[in-house]
Parts: sequence; structure tokens; C-alpha cells
Amino acid sequence: MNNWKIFSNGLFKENPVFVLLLGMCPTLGVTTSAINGLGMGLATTFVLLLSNVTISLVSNLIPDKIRIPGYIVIIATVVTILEICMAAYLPALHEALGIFIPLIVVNCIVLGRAEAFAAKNTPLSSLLDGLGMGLGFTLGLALLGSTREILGSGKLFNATLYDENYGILVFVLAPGAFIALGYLIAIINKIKKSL
Amino acid sequence: MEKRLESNFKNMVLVLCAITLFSSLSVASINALTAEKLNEVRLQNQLKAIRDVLPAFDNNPMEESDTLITPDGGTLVLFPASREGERVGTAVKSYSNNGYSGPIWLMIGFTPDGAVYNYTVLEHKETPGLGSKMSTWFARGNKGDITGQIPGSKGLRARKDGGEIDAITAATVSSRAFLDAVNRASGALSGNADAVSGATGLEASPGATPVEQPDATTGATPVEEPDASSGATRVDDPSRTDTSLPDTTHLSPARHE
Repeated sequence: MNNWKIFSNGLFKENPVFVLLLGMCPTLGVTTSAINGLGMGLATTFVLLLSNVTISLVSNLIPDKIRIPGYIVIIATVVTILEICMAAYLPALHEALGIFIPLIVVNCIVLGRAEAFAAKNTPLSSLLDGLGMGLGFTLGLALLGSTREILGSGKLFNATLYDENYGILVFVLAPGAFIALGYLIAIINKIKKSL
Repeated sequence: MEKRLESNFKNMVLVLCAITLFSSLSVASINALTAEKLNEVRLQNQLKAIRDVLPAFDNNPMEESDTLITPDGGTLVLFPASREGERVGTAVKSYSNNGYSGPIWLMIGFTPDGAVYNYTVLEHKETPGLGSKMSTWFARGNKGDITGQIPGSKGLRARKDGGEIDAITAATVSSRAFLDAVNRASGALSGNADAVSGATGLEASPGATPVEQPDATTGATPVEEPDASSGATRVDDPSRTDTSLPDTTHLSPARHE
């Protein structure tokens, strides 16, 4: 596998949101607006990058039977560091994402990539894989967030597109996340087939 | 790929210990590095909130702040602000536990005559798109404008509850909780000796309880009654008669937002 393939794999072919359907909790939870989706995506990208590289560096030192707890501790450390730094330097974003930042620890895409890719590949490939998967996740979240924000509150990145009163409220609420995600996956599959 | 370390007991214990030790060390050092900055952010947020809700002032309200403990264990903080020695208002950090999902924290600014000058929502967990609108809904010039209103002894109420404030569409619970927090702040301000805390409230309480409990709650909130006997926690009775809103809000907990 060449480097570009590893990187683009996460963006399109195995996009975590639309193809792998991993990490659904933050996907459905935070995407009430485009900016939240984007912020959450970038935070996850950061975690994926660091955890993938760290795990690929130390994977040979971790005995097989305790690899999952080992990975989880490493991931949790990265997430905690991220959370502390965000609270100190990006308080506004930290407030908007709230509980979902600590929940990156249990985002299955992070552990999934550690187990399925980083543990078996070199640090460079793992870095590219983390970046690709992270950006793919960001792309998915931003797209879903934009859709919900436009349909639900008539805005995009807080810029008003039409009167909020005509927005379809359900898209801001939890059921709207499922509906919007379902239709987005359908559209993306349709586009993929016609290519 | 090269061979992994063998999964025997010694290796597993050693590796897990090493990982956790390394993790805790890195988290601890990052925490120590950012502690100062975090505290700064917290103070800045607080000061910014105070600035947002009061007319211009030139003292440091945080140095003169006054903390009151409410009977249910909450804290209200008063931040008196003055300009050239003259009181221009007081910011009150207040809360309500009646939110749709979790507590609501507000910073409310009052002018010296007890009228709401402005407010800002510090923290809430209300439904996005419904209750979360409280951060703008009650602001100056908007539908539920509460600025300039004097909560006074009656307290502000939603139109649905016989008051004059328009509640947020489809978020009555959140609106009531919001007004509850405003009224609590106002109560703390008007009589902060007897209404919320302080040793004086302790002696005043026993007489006040039996009179207002039956009509205010009609048994809907029996959990609150036992407090009366204990005495120590009933310091808030005068404020309860003042702002009866808190009682009406938890009459029907299962209400739609």
C-alpha cells in the first residue's frame, strides 16, 4: 500500500462515518451545528494521530493478552491531555463540545484503528492512517452538522440562510440526526455507484 | 512484523505498570503546566460575565464578592460593582435545579433599584434549539425581554403562570427554571441576610414554615417538608414566601418542555 492510498482510504473508501459507521455516539450527538461537527472531528483527528503513532511505536513491547487495556490507557491519556489543553487555550470550543471530548476515549474508531492498523504497521503509515481517518471523520461530521443546521435552524456556520421559524426542528433534535445520517449515507452510496 | 513480547505474568504486570506510570506522569505534568492558565480563563470568564451584565464599573467586584449558601446546598455569589465609589449595580451568580436536564447557572446584573440590567447564561444543559434559546430569548429587545423588570417580592413569572414574561416557545420548563434562577438571585439581593443565608435566618425559620407549605405545594413536594423539622436547613423560608415560583415549578415534573 502506498502512502496516498493509506491516507485516502479513511477519507473516502472507508470513511468512518458513512462507510464504517464507527463512532456513532459523537456523530449523532454533537452534530447539531456545522461548527460543532468540525470541532469534534478535528479533536478526534488529533487523538487518532497521537494514539496511532504512539501505539505503533510501542506495540511490540505490549504482550498480546493485555494489548486492549494498554491501548485504552494510552488513548485515554491522549484525550485527557487534549481536554486539559482545550480548556486552557480554546475555552469556547471546549464549552461547546462539553462531555463529548472525554467520550473520545470510547470512540470505537480510535481503538479500532489502533487495533486494526497501528499495531501492525510502521509509525509513518499509522500517522497517515490516523490523519486520513480523522479527516474522513471530520468531513462526515461537518457534512452531517451542516445538513442538520441548514434544515433545522436555517443557518450555516451561524450565518442565517432563512428565517429560523421555517426550520424543521426535528433535525436539531436527536431523531433528526438519525434521519439525516440515513439519507446522507443513501446519497453517498448512490453517488458511489454511479461513479 | 517482529515478534511481540510474550504474554507471561511478569511481562504483563510490568508493561501495564509502565504504561500507567507513564500516562499518569504525562497527564500530571500537562495539568501542572496548564493550571495557571486554566485558573486565569476561569477568572476571566467570570469577570467577562460580570462586565456583560452590569453598567460600566471601575472596582473589582470579585474582590468584594459575597458568597451565600442556600438551604439546598447551592451557592449564590454576589458581586457588587461601583463606579467612582458609587454603587452601580450587583451581579449575582445564581442557579436553578429545575432545568429540563440538569442545573442552570446564570449571572444576572441588577441595578441598585432591584431591576434586571442584563443577564448571561453561564452553564446549562437544555435541549439545543429549544431551551438553549434562553441565552438570547430574555435579552433586551427580544420576545421574553426581562431587562428593566423588577422581580421584587412577587418574582417574575411566565405568562402561563400568571406572570408577564413570554416563555420560550416549546420550552416552558426551561423558561420557568430560568425565571426561578432570576428570582432566586433577586431574593438573595433584596434580603441577603434573612432570605438566603446567615445565622439570623436560623431563628426566623420555624414560624414561617407551617403557614406557607400547605397552600404552596399541596403535598406535591412532600420531600421538602422534613427539612422543616431539622431547622438548620430551613433558613430560606422568608425567601420562599417572597418568590413562590420555585415551588410552582416542580409541581408537575413530567411536563413537556
